[in-house]
Amino acid sequence: MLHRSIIRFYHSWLRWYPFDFRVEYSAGMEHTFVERLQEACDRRSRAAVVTLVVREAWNVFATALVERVTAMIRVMRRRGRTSPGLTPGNHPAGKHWAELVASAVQDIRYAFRSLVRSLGFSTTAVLTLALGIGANTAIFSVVNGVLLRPLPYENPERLIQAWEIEPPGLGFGFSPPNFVSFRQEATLFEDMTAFLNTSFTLTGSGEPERVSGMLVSAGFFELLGVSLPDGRSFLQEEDMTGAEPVVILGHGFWQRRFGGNEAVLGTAITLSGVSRTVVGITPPTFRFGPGTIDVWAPLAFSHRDMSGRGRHFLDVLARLRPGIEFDAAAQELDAIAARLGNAYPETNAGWGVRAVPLLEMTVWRVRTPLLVLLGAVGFVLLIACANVVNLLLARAEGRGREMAVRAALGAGRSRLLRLLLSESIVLASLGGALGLGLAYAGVELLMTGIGSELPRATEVGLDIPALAFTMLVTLGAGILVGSVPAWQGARKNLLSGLREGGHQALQGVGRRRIRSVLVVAEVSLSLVLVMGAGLLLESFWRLTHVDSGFDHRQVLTGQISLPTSQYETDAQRGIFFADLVDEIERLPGVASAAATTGLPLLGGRNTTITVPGRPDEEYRGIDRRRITPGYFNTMRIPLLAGRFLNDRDKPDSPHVVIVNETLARRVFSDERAVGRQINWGGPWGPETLEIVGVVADVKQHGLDIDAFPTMYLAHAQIYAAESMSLAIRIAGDPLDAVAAVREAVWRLDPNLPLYRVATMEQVIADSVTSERFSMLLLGIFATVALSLAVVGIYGVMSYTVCERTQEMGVRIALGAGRREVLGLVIRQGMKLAFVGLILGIAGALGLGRVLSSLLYEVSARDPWTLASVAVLVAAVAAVACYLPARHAARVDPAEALRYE
Amino acid sequence: MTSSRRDPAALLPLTDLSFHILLALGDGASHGYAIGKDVERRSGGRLNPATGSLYQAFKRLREDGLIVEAKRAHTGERQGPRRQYFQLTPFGRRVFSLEAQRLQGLLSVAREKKLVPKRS
Repeated sequence: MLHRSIIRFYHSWLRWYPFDFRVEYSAGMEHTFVERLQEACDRRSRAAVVTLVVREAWNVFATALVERVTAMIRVMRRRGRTSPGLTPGNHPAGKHWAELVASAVQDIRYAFRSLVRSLGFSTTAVLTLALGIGANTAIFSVVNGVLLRPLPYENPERLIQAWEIEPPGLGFGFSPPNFVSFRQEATLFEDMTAFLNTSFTLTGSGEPERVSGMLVSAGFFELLGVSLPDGRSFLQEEDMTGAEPVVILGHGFWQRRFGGNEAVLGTAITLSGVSRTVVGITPPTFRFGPGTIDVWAPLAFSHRDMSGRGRHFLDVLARLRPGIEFDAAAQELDAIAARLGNAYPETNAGWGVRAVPLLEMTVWRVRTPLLVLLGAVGFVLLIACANVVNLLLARAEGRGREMAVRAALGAGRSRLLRLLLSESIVLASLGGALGLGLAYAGVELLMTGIGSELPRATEVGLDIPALAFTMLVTLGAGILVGSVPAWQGARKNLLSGLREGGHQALQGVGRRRIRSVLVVAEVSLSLVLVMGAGLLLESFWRLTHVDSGFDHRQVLTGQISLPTSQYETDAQRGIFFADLVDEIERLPGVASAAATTGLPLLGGRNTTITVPGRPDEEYRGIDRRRITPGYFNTMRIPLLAGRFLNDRDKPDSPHVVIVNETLARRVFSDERAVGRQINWGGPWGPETLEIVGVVADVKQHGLDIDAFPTMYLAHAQIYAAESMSLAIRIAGDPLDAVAAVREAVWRLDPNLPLYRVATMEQVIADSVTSERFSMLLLGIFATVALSLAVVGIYGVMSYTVCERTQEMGVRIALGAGRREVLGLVIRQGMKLAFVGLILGIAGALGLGRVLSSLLYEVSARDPWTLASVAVLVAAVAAVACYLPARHAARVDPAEALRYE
Repeated sequence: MTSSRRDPAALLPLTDLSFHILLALGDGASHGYAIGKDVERRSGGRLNPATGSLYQAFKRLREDGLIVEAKRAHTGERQGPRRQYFQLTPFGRRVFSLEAQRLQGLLSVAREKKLVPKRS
């Protein structure tokens, strides 16, 4: 049965071919297809049958298109040759093309004139298309700039980024000795370079300023293929310990801080207490990684860096040799990792390397959201097109007589088709031009909103590819919206328009069917979009209402970094931060204050621990933070067992640690963790720490990431850090206290900037910026889609009611109640909406997969969201049907019948 | 201009698919399905043209005079669409043989340059 319908489908599908081709080959093709179908059925695989049918159908379509174009060209050439009145010097084909162009120009001029005559119609259609095309252009610009365009370096396809991974798949940076080994042993790479994000305090002139920095190996700029127009890049000997300190300035920073004065080259600036000679300035367009880098300094490995392979913190960039495949290079890295594992089993056993093309690494986080948005705007454009088709159909109805007159005067069918298509293409072009303006504003708006969150944001703009895309979309939209009414018009006997009078000329079942299809399509497409937006909204709500494990209200945060040149010893740094916390706690309005090496949600460093008496078990991926005693109180993280840290935990007293619930559970399962000991390979060699307390879990790496096992070390006891974040709980508005806190810092050291100042609420909001933006954008597009759908349904139903005014009049005259008429129209509309809902639900379920990676604790097929979205869309459709229905119910029978 | 008077070299080189179709017709007349199978088998699965592409190639080859439709008596073996048979024309044979010679020439050059192993 199915077999037969597939053959019937193929038979009719062959009609894509030109007539001549069909006469010659359709029987043979059908026979071949039947044999192939039989073969696929014999394999008893449904997939084989589906694949065959899809492949064959697509192939017929594609080859038929080629055949039709070829046939058309042949006809044109033949006509050109036989056309009478050619002068001998006139090339026939050229003449024919000239005629064609002339008539196209004529068509376009006529189309303009006729569109100007019906200004209301034209404006609506142009605005609708502009909305769709503009949204598509804007999102495409972003997709093009971020995902498609090659990175702005030399042969960027040969650049890869790599990091070391340990067995559970956790990624870390390279440890310096490992990096050196890889760099020496790898043969398939031109070079490898390490880099490390950092920041410096700039002092010397004016207020101390925190500047963003990057430490890079000597060959970094050469590896990227970037040459410095002012000054030079780093020399090989400059990334050695003890080398003369130098610095390269970022172009923006140079402009901002030094007014673009080249005299700064060769002078010294003080960064974190070290005087560095400026040797170069980056080109204005140079960017690397997210955010802007103010200063670049050589990355030198200290003796301590090189002493152990277990400290993983370097990011590594490498360039493949020409002609080397990515996979081969990745295999070589694996092989080196395996060799290092054998050579240094204590630190390297089980460690591997993961390499990813630099472009992929740069954009992986935004790829799915951007593609989802591109799909969404595609849907918006389709809905917009559906609306314009509907408008054009209504207009064509009113022009039946005009077309008939044209046909009677000798215009051929193809001429009329061309006329109708020219109109729609002119409409689309106007829409495209206006859409381009909208897109320009849209891109600006987008970049203001998510520019800081988007990698490669500076490369986004309305450029040639975006313009080409706009033209393509515009042309596509023009042909799409024009072809339906044109095709409809061409199927009718045009002369009947003269006989029956203009108004009745082109009515018919076909046209009504198209309108029904439009309603169904609009409802289903908008349902899919609203469902997507609904899911992201639900997900966002859950994400922002998840229990973060701490109280983020009324907490001010900021960061302080101590220059090691001045604060050389642990004791100096420990005392500074203890004093600073005391100083801040004395400020009016401050309830409590603390310092930590890592605020919640911002990630942190990982380490490995063991437990005395369990020599074979290692616990990896343990998050570690150093804190001052008041931290848990300030963040209001509950204590579950034991005690908090206190001032008695001094460097010379037994070293203690507080662990979170997850660590206690993972390492000690049901046993009591307080009082137990853990071993940790601290910065100064192995340490044994006693657990004195267990606290509740806190989301350390993002709201959507479950708590890692975490240990909190006493800052006073273990290697006091140079850089710490402050957390300050304040009775009033936290931002009111910023100036006072800054002064407290300066009272201790006037050269220290307090930077990254934000309330904890802002930190949370910033951690979900990209989620918020995806949700907002999809929400906006869904709203636009739904509004367009409402207008579309309203338009179709109004038209239908208008068409049936007489019938309504008769019904009312024959005693039908207004309520019945109302019901009749609403039922008719809702029947279509219902079909659209079913298709939309199927589509939403099918496409949900795409969204699932963007969702937090919501299934892409969440039944509640689906149900509410379906109800919403149904309600909106009902309103759109109600208004025309009310109009129908108010028809005055006498008035309606007078037209009979 | 009839095909017999045309220069067969003007049609060279043949596309991969055309070459394989002519090759499949070397044994005598055959129909679309069988030709498609033959092309797929001989090319080791590398060429597996869908029906549309296959018939488009037949059309081109017919227009160039390399193949013609073969008249076959309807055997009445089964209901349904009729099979359409094609066969090589003498001109088609000439073109094919020229193409084969051309390929052989290329191969010998490659052998001389030791880019491919010599036949044992």
